[in-house]
Amino acid sequence: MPSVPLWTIVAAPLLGGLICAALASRAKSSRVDDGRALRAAISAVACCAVGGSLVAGVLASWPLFAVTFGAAPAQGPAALAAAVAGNQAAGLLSPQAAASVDRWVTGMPYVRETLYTWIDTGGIALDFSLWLDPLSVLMVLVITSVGLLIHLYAAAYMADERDLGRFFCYLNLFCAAMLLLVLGDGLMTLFVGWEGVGACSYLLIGFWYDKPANGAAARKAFIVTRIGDAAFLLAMLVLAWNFGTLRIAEILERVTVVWQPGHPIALAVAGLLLLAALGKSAQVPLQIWLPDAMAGPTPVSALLHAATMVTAGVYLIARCHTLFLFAPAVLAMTATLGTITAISAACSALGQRDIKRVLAYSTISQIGFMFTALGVGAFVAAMFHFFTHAFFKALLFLSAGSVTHSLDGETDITRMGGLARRLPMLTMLAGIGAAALAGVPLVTSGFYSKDQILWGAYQAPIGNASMWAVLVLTAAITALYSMRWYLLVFWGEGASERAADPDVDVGSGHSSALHRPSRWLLWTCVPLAVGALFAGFVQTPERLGGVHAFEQFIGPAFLSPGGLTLRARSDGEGSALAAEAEHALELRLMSVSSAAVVAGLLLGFWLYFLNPGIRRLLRASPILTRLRQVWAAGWFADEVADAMVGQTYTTMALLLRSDPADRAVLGGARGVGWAHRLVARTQTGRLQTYVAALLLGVLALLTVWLWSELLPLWPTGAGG
Amino acid sequence: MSASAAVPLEHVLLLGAALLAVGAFGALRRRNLLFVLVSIEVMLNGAAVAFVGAGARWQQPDGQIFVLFIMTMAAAEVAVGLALLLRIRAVTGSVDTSGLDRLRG
Repeated sequence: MPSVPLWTIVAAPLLGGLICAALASRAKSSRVDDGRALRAAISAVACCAVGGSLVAGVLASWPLFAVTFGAAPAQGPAALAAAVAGNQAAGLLSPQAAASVDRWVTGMPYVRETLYTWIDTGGIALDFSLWLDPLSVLMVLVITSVGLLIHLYAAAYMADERDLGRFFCYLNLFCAAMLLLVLGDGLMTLFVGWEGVGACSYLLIGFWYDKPANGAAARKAFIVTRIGDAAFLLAMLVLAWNFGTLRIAEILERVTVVWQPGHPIALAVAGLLLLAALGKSAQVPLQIWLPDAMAGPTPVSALLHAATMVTAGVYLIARCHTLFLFAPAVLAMTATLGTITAISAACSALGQRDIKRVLAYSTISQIGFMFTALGVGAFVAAMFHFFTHAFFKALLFLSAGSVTHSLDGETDITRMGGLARRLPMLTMLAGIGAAALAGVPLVTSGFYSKDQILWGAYQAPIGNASMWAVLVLTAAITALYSMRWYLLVFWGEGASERAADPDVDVGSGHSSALHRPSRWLLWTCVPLAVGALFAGFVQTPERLGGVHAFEQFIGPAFLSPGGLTLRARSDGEGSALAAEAEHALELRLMSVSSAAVVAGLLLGFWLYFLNPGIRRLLRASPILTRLRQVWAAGWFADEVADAMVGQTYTTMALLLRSDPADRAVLGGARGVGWAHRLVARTQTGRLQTYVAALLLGVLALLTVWLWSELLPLWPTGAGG
Repeated sequence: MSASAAVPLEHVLLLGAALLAVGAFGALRRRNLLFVLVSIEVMLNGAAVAFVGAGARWQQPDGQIFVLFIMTMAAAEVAVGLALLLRIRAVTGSVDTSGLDRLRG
């Protein structure tokens, strides 16, 4: 197994982006037919770059897999159970590969690669170095594999776009920045990637910049996330001030020595990092940018605003989890905000009519689940949900893109329907995605990862039954809106047949103008669908197979130096009896949440398939209508933000326009003008006045001089 | 120095001061540019008298050398001054200083 330097993972898409940039202007200016070959070349370069990154990522992370699954069960604090899958894979993984792997103080395997010394001055030294541990491996593999599929999809989806070079340049640069973010060894390196993905997000949301609304959405996304970025910078300053380093591993080691839980600086840093994560991951109260970000092309929504970039906040908290363990108040806040986000965004998703906005709100809601998991200390569950969510949400977005493509740009789900007969494969793919999002019990990945979070929320030290109840309710609403989305888009009667329904604004019937999505578009979704179905089986509950491969691999990344953990509520963990009881409880809770999901699905099925007429009755209810308006507007978060920030800003600006300080300055200016006019009088233009003034001045100086210097000498001075 | 030693320095200085004052008064009060120039010459000579007197008092040649410089400078100054005078007369048609105030603030 050849050892691959880590930097190639980042360099491949960076190089691809530069090549695309070089070809972009030629591809844009050439005529449509001439440009076809060039555009194909650009697509190929971009896809190969991400593919190369995927290969490099697999090769580079191979030693980590080898030491986890190849060697004997984990050496580290042995809370980790042996993996069933691990033993089978043992033969595959060469033991030599393990040689290049170091082990951190917690026993976690990692690979570190220093490229060069970046800054070494003023008591702080920053290396530009990369760090690959199990958490990074997970992120890298998800980013590159989902990224590759989305690139392949985009090559077909955007084939008619004249500015294809610019598109793929941004998309490749995004991959490079995102990979740098997850491979960064220090917070500063991470921050470069963090800002890089923010910039690429801005550029890609506003990709079709000739529509002003897209530019506005791009600016909104950029500015709102900047609030978090500023907090990130402040957190780095505080850390550098206190520890003289920005290497994450070093900080986490020092923290456990220097601080006690609840240390004020720990609270400040964790709070600031939380704010940064809230901004990047579109959580309450900074969630307002993500629904508007759907203005970008669909592959962008799938890659940046569902699968990878928006989970950067989750990654940041997971990466710095030890810091957060020292700030229990901030962790509790993370869980609370996550839960609030999960349920509020799920409700908002229920009120949306745009095919992509439903998915955007569902992304916010699902990341809310991840934040809740992080907040209760169930870090593995959060990353597991990230893992499965990346597959099924990318799948849903790509399906939505194919639907919009075939319907000639239609995005309103209330005007769709009846696609199932025409596009059976797409219907099946989207159905898998929607089922995984809803968390259909037992068969989908979303079920297993969501269940882990629910279990964590119930059982973890910070979690409690009410949080669990809210999340179960959210899961039910998720099932309902997944069903609504899926049935409205693909089933029921087509728009033209629904013309009789007075409550639906009917546009042109789309049934006649159906473009079939190409095989390419559909087949790139197939691996995602496989992931959406089967990715969950790497980690299953104790009573359902008890596979722990995921936890065995990634668990060591969440051990803290010094063995710090959140104190468990029950201390009877050791006894087999308690474990048995716990597993039984887990199964009971799982049954309840599964029942809630099924109930949500059935309600959706009844409302949107069996008995659509009932919806007309429901619309008559003023309360429901009002609720729908509130949800359609996303709880009026935009309006609230505008009132709180926008209006405040405008008021302040108006106040400052005529403020006292300004007046004082103006008064000074007036005084200067007045003095100027006074002095200008002496400028008569007549030479003789000047000469008179000159003579008077000389006389005055002479007089002063005489009085001070010569007068004392007078009695002894020279006489005649 | 036999002859000049009889004249006390104070007298020489008073003469110089008187010449300077007369010249300055003329330079300030005269309206005719030509007489302004003449007045400036008178002022220069006041200074020259003071130099000569001081040179005689301390038995140094520097005073006389300075007077030569002043005379040279005065000649040059008159040349420039007269040239300006002629131009001013050609442009404005008069040599009256009271009309020359176009550079007022």
